[in-house]
Amino acid sequence: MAYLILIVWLGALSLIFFKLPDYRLFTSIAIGLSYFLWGIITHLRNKTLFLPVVLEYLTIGLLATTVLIFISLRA
Amino acid sequence: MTNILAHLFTPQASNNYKAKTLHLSSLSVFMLIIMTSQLLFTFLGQKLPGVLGINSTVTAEELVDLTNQERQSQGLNLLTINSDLNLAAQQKAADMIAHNYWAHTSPAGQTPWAFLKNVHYRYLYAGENLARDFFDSNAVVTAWMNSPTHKDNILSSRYRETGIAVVQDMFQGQETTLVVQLFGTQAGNVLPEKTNEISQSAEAVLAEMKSTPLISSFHLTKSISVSLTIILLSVIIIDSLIITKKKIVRLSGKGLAHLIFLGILLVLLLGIQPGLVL
Repeated sequence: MAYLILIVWLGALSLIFFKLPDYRLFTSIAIGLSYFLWGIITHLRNKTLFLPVVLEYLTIGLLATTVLIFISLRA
Repeated sequence: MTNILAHLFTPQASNNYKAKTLHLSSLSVFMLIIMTSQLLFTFLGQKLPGVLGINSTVTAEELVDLTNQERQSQGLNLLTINSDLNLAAQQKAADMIAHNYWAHTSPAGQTPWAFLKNVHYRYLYAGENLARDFFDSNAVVTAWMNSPTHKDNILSSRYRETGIAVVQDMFQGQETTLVVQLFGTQAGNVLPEKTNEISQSAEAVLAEMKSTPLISSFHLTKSISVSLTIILLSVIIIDSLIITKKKIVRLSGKGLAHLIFLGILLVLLLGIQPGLVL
C-alpha cells in the first residue's frame, strides 16, 4: 500500500512537472520533499527509523531535486 | 582494480555491506558534481560562447514556410510576408532584449499593437506568437501548434500577412534565440469573414527556438543527470540483489522505494525538452 501511494503521488507530480512548465521549480522541490517524507513516515510506522535512514532519504531527495531544478533552468 | 569496483558497486565487509556508491558521502559527491558542473557551464557559457554557445538554425523563411504548410493542410489561404510586419517584429524583439522581458506586453505597458502602429501598419486583425531558444524551425512551429492559443493564430482565417524576426543575442543572462511572429490583416483587405473586431493577440509562445549549440548546456546537463541516475539505479539493483541473496540484515532505506523514485526521476529527465510556450 505504501508503495502504491508513492507511485501514484509521484506520478501525479510528474504530470504536473510536464504539463505546467512554469511551476517546475516548485514541482521539483515537491518531488524531493515528498520522497523524504514518505521515507520518514514509512520507516516510522515500521519502527525502523534511525538517523542514517533519515539522512539517506534526505540525500536522495535532495539529489533528485537538485538535478530537476538544474535541468529545468536549462530547458 | 576488481576489488575497487566491488567495493564501489557491491555490498561487502569493506563497505559495511552497502555499496560504497550508495553511502551518504558518495551521494554528496554526486550532488557536488552536479552543482559544480552547472557553475562551470554557466561560467563557460559566458566566457567561451564558442564552446558552450548557441548556433541557431531557425530562420524566418522556414518559419513562414512551415506556417503556410500548416495553413495549407487546413485549406486556408497562405500568408504573405509584409515588410512592415517584419520591421515591427524586429522592433519587438529588440525591445524585449533591451528591456529584458519575456512577455507580450512590456514592463512599460507597451502592447504588441503599439509596434504595429509604430510602423504605420493599420490592421483589422492582428496577433503575435513568441518563442525562444528552440533548436530548429520545426521545433518552434511544433511548440506553437501544441499550444491552442498559438495554434489559433497560425490557423486563423482572418490573417492575410505575417512578419517574423529571429534574433540571437544575450537575453536574461544567456545566449538566446528569440522569435517574434506577427500576424495581420490590413484595413481595406477583403476578408473571408467580415467583422470589424480586432482580434486579441494570442498569448506569446515563449519557447526556445532554434539553437543548435556547439555544445548545448541543456543536453550536457541532461546527459550528466541521466548518466548519474542510471548509475545509481544499477548499483541499487545490484546491491539489493546481493543483499537479498545473502540475506544480509542492515540498517538502510528501502531499495525498492529508491528504485521507484529514481526510475521516475529518470523518466522525467528523459522526457523533458527545451522550450517554453506562454
